[in-house]
Amino acid sequence: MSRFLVRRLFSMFISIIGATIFIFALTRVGPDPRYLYIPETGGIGIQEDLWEELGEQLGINDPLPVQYGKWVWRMLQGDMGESIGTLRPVSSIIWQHLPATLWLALGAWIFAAVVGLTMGILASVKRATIWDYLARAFALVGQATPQFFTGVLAIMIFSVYMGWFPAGTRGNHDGFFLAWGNLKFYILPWMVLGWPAAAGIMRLTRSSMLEILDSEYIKLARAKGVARLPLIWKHGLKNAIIPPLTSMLVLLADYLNGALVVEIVFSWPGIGQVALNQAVYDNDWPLLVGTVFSFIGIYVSFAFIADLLYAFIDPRIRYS
Amino acid sequence: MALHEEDLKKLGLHERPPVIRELRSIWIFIRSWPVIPIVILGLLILSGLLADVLATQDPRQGGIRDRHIPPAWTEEGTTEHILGTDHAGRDVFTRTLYGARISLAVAAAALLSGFIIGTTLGIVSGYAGGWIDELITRIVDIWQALPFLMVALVCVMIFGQSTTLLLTLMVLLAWHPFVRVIRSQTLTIKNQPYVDLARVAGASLPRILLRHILPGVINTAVVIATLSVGSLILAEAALSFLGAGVPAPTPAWGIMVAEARGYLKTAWWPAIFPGMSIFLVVLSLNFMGDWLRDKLDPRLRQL
Repeated sequence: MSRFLVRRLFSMFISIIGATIFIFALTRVGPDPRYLYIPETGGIGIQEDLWEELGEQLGINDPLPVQYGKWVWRMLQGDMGESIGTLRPVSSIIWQHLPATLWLALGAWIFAAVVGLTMGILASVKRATIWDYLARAFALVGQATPQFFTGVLAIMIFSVYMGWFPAGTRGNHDGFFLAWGNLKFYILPWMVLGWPAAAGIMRLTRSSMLEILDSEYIKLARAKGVARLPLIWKHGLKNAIIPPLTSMLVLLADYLNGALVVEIVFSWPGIGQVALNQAVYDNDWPLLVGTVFSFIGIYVSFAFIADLLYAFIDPRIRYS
Repeated sequence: MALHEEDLKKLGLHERPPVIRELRSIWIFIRSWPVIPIVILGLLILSGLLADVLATQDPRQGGIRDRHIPPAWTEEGTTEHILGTDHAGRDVFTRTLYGARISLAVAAAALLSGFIIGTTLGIVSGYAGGWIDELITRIVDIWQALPFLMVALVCVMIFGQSTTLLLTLMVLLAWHPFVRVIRSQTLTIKNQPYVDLARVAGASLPRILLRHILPGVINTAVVIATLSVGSLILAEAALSFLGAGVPAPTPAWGIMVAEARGYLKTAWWPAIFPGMSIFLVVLSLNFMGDWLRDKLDPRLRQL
C-alpha cells in the first residue's frame, strides 16, 4: 500500500508541476503582462518610472526559470498577489468563495451518485421494461444537453412559470443549513450540475450489472437457490459497483467545467463566478490565475483521494 | 406448409394484413440503422451549408422595433419571422441556421485535427515505448488535469477573442481521448508476428506504422471520434456561452442562449430554439457513435 501511495503522490506532483508550467507559460507567451494592467503604454498617462516599477513588481526582468520558481514558491505559500479590481488579496477572495463552489459540487455529486446508481441497478434488474427505457432516456437526454441550456430551461420552468424555486444566487443563509429557506436555492443547481454525471454513472452501472448478472457464478448461485434480492445485492452489486465508483471520481474534471457554467447560469457566488464576472471582465490577471490555480488544486486533490478510495475498494489496483 | 405457418406465428407475422407487415419491416430497418439520427444530422448539416439560401433575414441585423416578436404560430407572430426575433430584433430562425454552420464547422475541424494528432501520438507512443511513451502519457495526464474552460478563459484573456483561438482550443480538447486507447491497441498489435515479419523483411519504419499498425487501429479511432464529437459540440457551445467562442455578432448557438438568458420572463423562443438544436445534434451524434461502436468495435463498450 505504501509503495502505491508514494507512486500516486509522485504522479500527482508531476501533474501539478506540469499544469503550473503550462499556466505559467501561457502567462508569458502573451504580450507584456503590463499591458493587461494598462491598456497602452502611456495611454492613460502612466509615467516611465512607474512602468518600470510595475515590471519590477511583476518580476518580468528575471530569467524565465527564476520567474517560475518564484511564482510557484509564492503560490505554495498561499500568496497569490493582489486583485487589481478590488485591491484585496486574491487568496482571501478565493477563500471567501470556495465554500459555495465546494457545496455546489458536493451536493451535485451526491445527487449524481444516488440517482445514477439507483437508476442503473433498476435498469439492469428490470431489463427491457419501462424502467430500463426511462433510465436510458434520462441518460441520453442528460448527456446530450449542454448544462447552460438545462439550467436555463430549469429556471424557465421551475422559477419563472411554476415559481417553486428561486432563479439564482445562494440566498442569505439564515438559521439552520438544511432549512427549506436555504435548501431551495441549492436544488436546481445540484440537479443541473449532477444530471450528466448521473447519466454517465447510470450507463456504467447498468452495463457492468448486466455483465455480472450474466456471469457463471450468478447462474450457479441462482441454481443453488439463492433468493432474488440477496442475489442482486450481495452477489451482483458488490462486484458490479467498481467501475461506476471509479468513474464517479474520474468524472470530476468534467464536473468542475460544469460547475463553472452552472455558477454563471445561477449567479452562484462561487469561484467560477468570480473568475468570469470579476477576473475576465475586469482584466484582473492575478485573480484569474488564482482561480485557475484553485480549480487545478481541487481537481488534483480529488483525483488523488479517488485513487486511494479505488485502491481501497479494489485491492488488485495496488499491485498492478 | 404447416411448418411454414408455424414459423410465421413465432415471428408474429401470422395472418396479419400486409400493411402491418410492411410497417414491421420498416420498423426493423429503423431499429438496425440509425435512420432518425442520420436524418436529423443531415437536415442540420444541410441547413448549415445552405444557410445563405434558406435564410429569410440578415443574421446580424435587426431593428429595435422588431424585438421579441413571438414565433409564427402564436397570436402575435408574423410569417416573416418563423421562429420569432430576439432582444435585438434579429430573426431567430436565420441565426439558428447560421449557428449550425459555426457549430458543425468548428467541431468537424477540431475533430479532424484531433483525430490525426491523437492517433499519430497514440501509435508513436505505443510503438516507440521507452521515454517517448512515458513523455506522451505524462503530457496526456497533465492535460487531463487542467480545467479546460478555465484554461480557455485564460487564453481568451491573453490573446483576445478570435475564431483562430477557438479552433486552437478545440483541437487542444479533441486530441487527448485518442492517445490512450490507440496506444494500448498499438501495444498489442506491435507484438503480432506479422509486424515482426515485416521488420525482418526489411520494411522501413514509416511503412510498418502506416501499412501494418494503422489499419489495425483505424476502426477504434473512428469509433472514438464519433463518440467524442458530441462532447466537442457541447464544449464549443459552453465556450460561446461564456463569451469565449467566436466573436459576438456572429451567430453561434451558445451565444444565442447566453443573450436570451436575461429575457426569459418576456421571451422563451430565443433561448429554446438554439438550445434544442444543440440537444438534437449531440443526441443524434451520440446515437450514431453507439451504433458505430457496436458495428466496428464492440470491445469498446466500456467507453
